[in-house]
Amino acid sequence: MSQNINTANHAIHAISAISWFTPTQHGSLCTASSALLNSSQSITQDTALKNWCKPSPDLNAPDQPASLLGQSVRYFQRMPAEARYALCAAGLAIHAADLNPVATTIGLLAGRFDGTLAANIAYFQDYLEAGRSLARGNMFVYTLPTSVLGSVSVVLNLRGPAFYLDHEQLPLQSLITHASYLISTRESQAMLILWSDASAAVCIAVGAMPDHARDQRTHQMLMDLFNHDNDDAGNPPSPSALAHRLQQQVTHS
Amino acid sequence: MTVRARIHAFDLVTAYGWGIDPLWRGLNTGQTAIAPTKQFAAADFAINLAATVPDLQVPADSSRVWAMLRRLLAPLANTLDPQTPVILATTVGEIEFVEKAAIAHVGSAATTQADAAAFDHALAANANPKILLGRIKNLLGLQGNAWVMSSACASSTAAISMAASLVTQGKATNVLVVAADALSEFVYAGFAALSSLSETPASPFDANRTGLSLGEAAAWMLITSDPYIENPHDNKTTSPTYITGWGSSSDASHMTAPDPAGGGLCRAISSACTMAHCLPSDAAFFAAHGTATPYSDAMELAAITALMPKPCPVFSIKGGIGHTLGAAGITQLLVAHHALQLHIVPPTVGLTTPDTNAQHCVSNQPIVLPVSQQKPRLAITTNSGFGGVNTAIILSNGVGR
Repeated sequence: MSQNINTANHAIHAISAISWFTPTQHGSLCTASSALLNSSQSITQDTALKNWCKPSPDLNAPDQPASLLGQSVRYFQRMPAEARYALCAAGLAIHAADLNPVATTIGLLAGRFDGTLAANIAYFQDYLEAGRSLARGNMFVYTLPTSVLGSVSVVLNLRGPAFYLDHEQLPLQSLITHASYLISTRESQAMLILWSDASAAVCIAVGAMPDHARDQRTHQMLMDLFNHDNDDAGNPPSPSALAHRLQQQVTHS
Repeated sequence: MTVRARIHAFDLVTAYGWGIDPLWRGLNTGQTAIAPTKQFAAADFAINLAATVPDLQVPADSSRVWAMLRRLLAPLANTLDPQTPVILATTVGEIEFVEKAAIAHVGSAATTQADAAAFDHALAANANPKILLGRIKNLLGLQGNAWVMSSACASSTAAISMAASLVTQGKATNVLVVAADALSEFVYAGFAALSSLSETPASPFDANRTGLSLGEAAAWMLITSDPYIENPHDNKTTSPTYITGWGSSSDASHMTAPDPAGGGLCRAISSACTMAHCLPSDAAFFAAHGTATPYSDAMELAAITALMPKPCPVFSIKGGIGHTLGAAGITQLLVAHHALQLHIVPPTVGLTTPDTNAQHCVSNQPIVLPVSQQKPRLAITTNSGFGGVNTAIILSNGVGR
């Protein structure tokens, strides 16, 4: 049975948008009832909708990620898959939540180790196969749990705190709670929570939002999602599974 | 009445040995613990210097991190409230498990691809710091909340900040912070590839510094709530150290190079000072990250200079014990705590000719601070790391807030 997160419910109230990127689908949900539709920073006309999902572009294509994010990204093709997906999901979430990184201090949290482990293995095997005397610096920099956050903060100009935080039993809920705390202490004005690995990325935007600005239906859906997100073994959903669930919500809404 | 976060107890191990006393003594005598290492095939690298914990016994199926932590934490077993939350701070943790799995796989692939042993993912997955966290809880008999916190070389500072926040919010009365990182071929090869290693023992803030020296360390700290009632007549000269402010930021400028102007670090320090209701200029000294890389030290000096109207003592411990990665923050914070208690700022080991911007604040000699009984003495401790992260903590020791 899934574990409940009543203690974190107050924090869920602050979720303003959630976006995801997988090799097949990407999309966004927004809990704000009007903010996005008034946005002057739409990435593309297609994504200027409140809740949406659509097939993902090939990130190896020459026009990517510029056509998706509205900006070109140096060394994008050299980044590991997790960093590329995380970057796309974060860019979509910033847009969906109508955040302006220049005017707002935005921080980052992450809490999944799978992508880090994959990067660790790839880096060290490459080093061994190269004769065990010279490693690749560009692979080494992606071996930390916060490496992906570093990439995202540099590309998207996010100047708030950047932590990897993994709760023993309730990692996703704990991230949301901590994001809310960092906002309440004014260390950051908004937070992005990245739930990512080498197969998919989900990004949850957390920020202060008054009750009257919240779309109650979408908000209730997110509450249900996070209150019952663990599997029978108590494990939180993988990024792919969470993205799939979000996609279903958009399709059915 | 204000609930404050207080440093209640701690222990640590560095290349100087077990406990704070060898570390304090080593720093103050100016002797570096950085020396040629034989821990792995370091001779294959152009540089083979590191600061390692002496005589560490590591079973073949274990890790250096666990060998340090098991010995450090053993006296705490079953002494804490079982519900005490614990936060583990590390960058790569028990990375030996990835090394072992990769070496077994690649080594066996020397014949043909078909004969190659399958990669042992289960072995490599033991490097997940959550597994180490579980082992720590079992050793100590803890059953409460537990987290892994990582923020590159600012990991333990971030963990201490979180612990202090849990205490001051009233969510816990005690929080245990555990931090560790060990010397590994994995990390050594990476820093060598980035040309970050110094050919001589690291010399932070020196005009001729060329890079960092890697080290290893482990530490724990118990942070407790301290309901404090203001008493202007309390003139005790020794008193507990409190964690009164913390802040963090990202440079958003480069993955491995710092913002040259130190803007991100300035924001972290300012945020911490705002929380602590103080100004940077109130600090008696800075416990700096001071890795001894040319760019990182220059960034820190730029930030400190920008925030301080007049020079203030600054020290780094990395010339003595090397860069201990995820344990760097807690180690230097405990040195700062000790310095506040003793009214002495330790010297920066390895310093010969201070950088132009460090001439009036960094010293290779201990600096005795004047004793004031009128107001608390403050220290600022800072860390920065890969991805452009910055953290700052304000320590307060003495009377009043």
